[in-house]
Amino acid sequence: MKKNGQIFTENIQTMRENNPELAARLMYVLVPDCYEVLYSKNNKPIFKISNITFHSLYDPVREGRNFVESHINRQPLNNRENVIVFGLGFAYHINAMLEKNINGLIIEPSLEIIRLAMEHVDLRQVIESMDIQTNIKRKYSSKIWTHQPSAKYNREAFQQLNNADTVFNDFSERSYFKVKKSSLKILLVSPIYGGSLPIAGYCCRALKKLGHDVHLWDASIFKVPFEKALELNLDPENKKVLHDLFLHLISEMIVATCSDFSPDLVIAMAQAPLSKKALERLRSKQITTAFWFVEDYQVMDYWQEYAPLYDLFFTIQEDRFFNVLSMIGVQNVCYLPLAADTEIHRPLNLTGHEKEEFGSDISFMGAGYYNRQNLFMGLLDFDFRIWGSEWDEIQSPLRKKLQRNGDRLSTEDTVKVFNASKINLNLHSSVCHEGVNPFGDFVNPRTFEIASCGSFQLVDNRQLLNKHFAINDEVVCYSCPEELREQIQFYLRHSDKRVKIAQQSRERILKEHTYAHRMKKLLSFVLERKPECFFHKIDRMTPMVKDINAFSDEYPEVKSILELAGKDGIADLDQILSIIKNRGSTPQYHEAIFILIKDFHELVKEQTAC
Amino acid sequence: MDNILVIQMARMGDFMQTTPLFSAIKKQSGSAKLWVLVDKSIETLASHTPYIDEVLVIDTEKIYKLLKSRTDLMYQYGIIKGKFAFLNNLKFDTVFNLNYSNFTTALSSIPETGKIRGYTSCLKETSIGKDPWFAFFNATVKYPRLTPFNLVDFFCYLFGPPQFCPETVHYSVDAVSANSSVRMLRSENISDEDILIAFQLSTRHEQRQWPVRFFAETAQKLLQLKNVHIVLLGSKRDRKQGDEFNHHVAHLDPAQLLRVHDFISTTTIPELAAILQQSNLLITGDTGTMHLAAAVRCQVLALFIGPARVHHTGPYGHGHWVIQVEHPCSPCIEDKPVCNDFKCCESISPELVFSLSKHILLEESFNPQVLTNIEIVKSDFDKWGVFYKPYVKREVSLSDIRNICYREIGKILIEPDHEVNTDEIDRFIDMFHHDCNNLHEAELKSVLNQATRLMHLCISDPFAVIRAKLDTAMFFWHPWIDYCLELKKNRKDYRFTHGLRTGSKAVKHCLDKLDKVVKSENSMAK
Repeated sequence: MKKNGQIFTENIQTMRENNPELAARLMYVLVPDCYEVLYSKNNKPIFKISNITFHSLYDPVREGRNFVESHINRQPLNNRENVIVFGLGFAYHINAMLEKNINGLIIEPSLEIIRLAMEHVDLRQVIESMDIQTNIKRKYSSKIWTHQPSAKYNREAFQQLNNADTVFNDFSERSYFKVKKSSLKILLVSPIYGGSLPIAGYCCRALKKLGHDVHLWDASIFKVPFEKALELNLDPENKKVLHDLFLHLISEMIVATCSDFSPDLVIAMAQAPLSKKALERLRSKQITTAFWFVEDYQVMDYWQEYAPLYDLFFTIQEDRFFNVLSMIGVQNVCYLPLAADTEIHRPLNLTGHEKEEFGSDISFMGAGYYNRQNLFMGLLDFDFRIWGSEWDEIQSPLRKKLQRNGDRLSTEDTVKVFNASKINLNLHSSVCHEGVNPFGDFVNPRTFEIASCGSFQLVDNRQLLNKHFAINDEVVCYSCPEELREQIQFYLRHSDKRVKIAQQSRERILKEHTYAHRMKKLLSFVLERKPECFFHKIDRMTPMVKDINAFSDEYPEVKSILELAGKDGIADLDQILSIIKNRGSTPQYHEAIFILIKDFHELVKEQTAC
Repeated sequence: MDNILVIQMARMGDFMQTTPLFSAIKKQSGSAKLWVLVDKSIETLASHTPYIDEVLVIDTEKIYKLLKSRTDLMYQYGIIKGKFAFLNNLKFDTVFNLNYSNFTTALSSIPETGKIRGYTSCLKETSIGKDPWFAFFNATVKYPRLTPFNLVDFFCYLFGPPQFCPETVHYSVDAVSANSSVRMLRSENISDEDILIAFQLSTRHEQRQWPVRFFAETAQKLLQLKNVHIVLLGSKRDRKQGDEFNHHVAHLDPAQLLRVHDFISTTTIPELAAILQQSNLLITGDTGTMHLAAAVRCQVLALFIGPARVHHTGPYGHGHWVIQVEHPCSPCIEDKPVCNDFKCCESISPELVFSLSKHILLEESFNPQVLTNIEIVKSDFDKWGVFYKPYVKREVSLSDIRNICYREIGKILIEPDHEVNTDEIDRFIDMFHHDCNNLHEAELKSVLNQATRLMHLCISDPFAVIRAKLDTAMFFWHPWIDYCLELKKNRKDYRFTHGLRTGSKAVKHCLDKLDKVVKSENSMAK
């Protein structure tokens, strides 16, 4: 049996002889991972995309013959009459046609499917006997035979084929090369302030590590003027006007950055200052936008207005939230829990002084929400330190436990607190529960961050927690004040158990819960739902380099530029011009030639449009 | 001996307007060898233009067809490399690139060149680089009512300060074409004694187009004059308008019809020039034919409509006449019309064109009644080039003062030692009535105050200039701000304050002059 590589080599050779242009295009096509190749019961290769199986799971050869028979029975052919077949698949139906000496034209709009077929089945006879086209070049008067799975997969193209008036124009749109990019250009928009601000920084670092070109649009630089503006007038009406104007200004700046940076993807963190108008403009510019809503949808409701304006919406909650989003028409929703940046939240070797400054038997780091104030009242007899803001108005014994007068702690000091505390308390905030929210679902960043420090934590029970950690082995949970006290007493006595659980939690973080993991998941969802972000879309009419080596051999002066332009395995005129432009000096002769070609190309486009 | 290349890839009109630059180069740089790079469609024209030593030709249409056939970049690279190799082998001391396009800036970078003037390749920027003089041109041309210099003079001053004013565009009619044109005219029974009036019916854009039926009505009136013959000129693209014209005049007396001669699409460019040379008058819109006529000393009566501005691209030479349409919305921007019906095209009546033609040809008195939305001007020259003098005096406006002011600012860019010349300003001011019903003294004082404010601001605040652009009340100085922004030297730059100072002096002089005149008129009245 031939190996796939060998089949492809033989097929492409035949294609070069019969259809060199298509052969050149196929050289650059990558088959998406979601194209699954299977084998039928009689051991013939078939394939499946998005639940569409393209051939019989039992006997695709017989199915192909039946395809031809049924069409001939319905519409008998005249002597040597050619037909048009919509859909190549793995060509079982085409081979059956050739057995009956029926020739014609195959229309297969997907280059990826052609490439897949070239890799898995011997198409040489098909290529030699039939013309394969990816687009319609004229209106056809011949009979059209439809390979149903192909039509189902390429529904839009198939419908247009049947609509004779629009066939040509719409099909020409499809004639693009798609070449996967080695890295994406991502604009990451942070909020002006708030909990998701540091997360934006973590995501930026993670995306850069993954090799993407990331531009962090740091809206926090507007924090001071934004707060000043809102302080100016207490009249809610004026406040809203000021707020909207401010948002509009920042949004316009972000849109302008998009014009300069031309991102493939814009990721906005929760509370990012992007107005609805700006999002509409980004959509009109065909820039894919994603929003990571790292907040509780039942507490913050602005998602209702904004979620439909983003192409992709990521949440830290599932189920009910998904249903609600679906009801307002938001389709591309993905659960993306929080995570930790293991280079920031990491185990530390603290000095004696630091242990003294930050250490205690139990500690809590966070804002003084109602449920925390209430629950922690029962822990006053412990060596307990509270770190964080918004506790200062409490006229209660908890004040004695509050450190640094309730100032916000820097990230570095927070990590020291996690490292220095024997037990880190973690209680998800609530403004209405007395202690643990029995319906709480999402997992807060603190859970991942304490674990990432290799520190021990007692965390309130959350519905989604066991998705991410093994309860009792990696984190220990409590559901009520009594249980919390018991756990504290137990784990203060058993330091070995604390240490073991904490180590295991860190291992779990390293294995599954870093921001790099999250960003990978985010991007794979983008690839699934908006694959166009990941591909160079090259206009059929844009001049392109068919063979970089041959070009460099013939014209050595262009070698370095082609190497740069062709790092993704393909080089076209626009990429080359962008490199010349970035070089930023008077063009040399060979560079001027590319600029001239571009100008002539514009002429060609104009003429074609006319 | 210096080698100088001028790149002018635009069409006929632009090429004709470049010809005075050729004469300036040849006359002022002695033995320099002048090369000109043009499109194939201009080759004939260029070969009939004096002062050019070598014409280099690029057949863009042919190259375009070759490239169109295949999308393989290597193939296209080979084609372009081959077609432009001749440039790569040449060496120039100076290249003048006159076209604002990536195409010509790329072309200008191919030969080995000492310096590039005009538009330059500036890959660091998104826009095309500009010579300071062309930066001034670009900054002013954005403001349609601001035309400190005619395009011809803008081109000329790229070469340097004026040592002489060419006062004409250039074209040499060759003997063969001259004979051929005479034969053509004789065969149509046109004799030397006849009055030959040429019509160029169509313009490049419909916004500039005077209605063909108006041409026909004008022809009908002119044909009532003895010995008048009308000759229709143009290329095959003008055929449609020619047919429409013929349809409109079809009802004329056959004897009159015999004096209408349709030469559309029957002449070569040299023959066209020769016929124009034989013509007593050309009636036309803003066209390439108009510039060719000016070059062969054919008197022009041009009808400037829509985007066309006489002060910018009017016929270059002495004594040409232009009727300029001046609607509140004029001039509009080509391809971005503010209306759909182009009613302004009908502002010029055939009666007016007829009366003015009679005045030009037969020296009959011409006293147009109240002119609504139009102005009649006649070309004249000073040391700095052409200007167009209103035939009927009107009140001076702030827009006129702005033109005067920017002409003075332009002069110091050409000659840094130039001092504001009050006589030259007076000559311009005197073209208008001084009673300033439309122009308040306060307005001019405000303009002066703005200049002072800008001068202070630009020294102390880096964003002052940009902020002033947002202030619509400062519109008078916006072009100057744009100029400095084009040069990326928007603050503390001597040019900025120097320009403001010069402009202020000019405005101040206008203010004093108007004030004096008003005062003297008042005392006379007393």
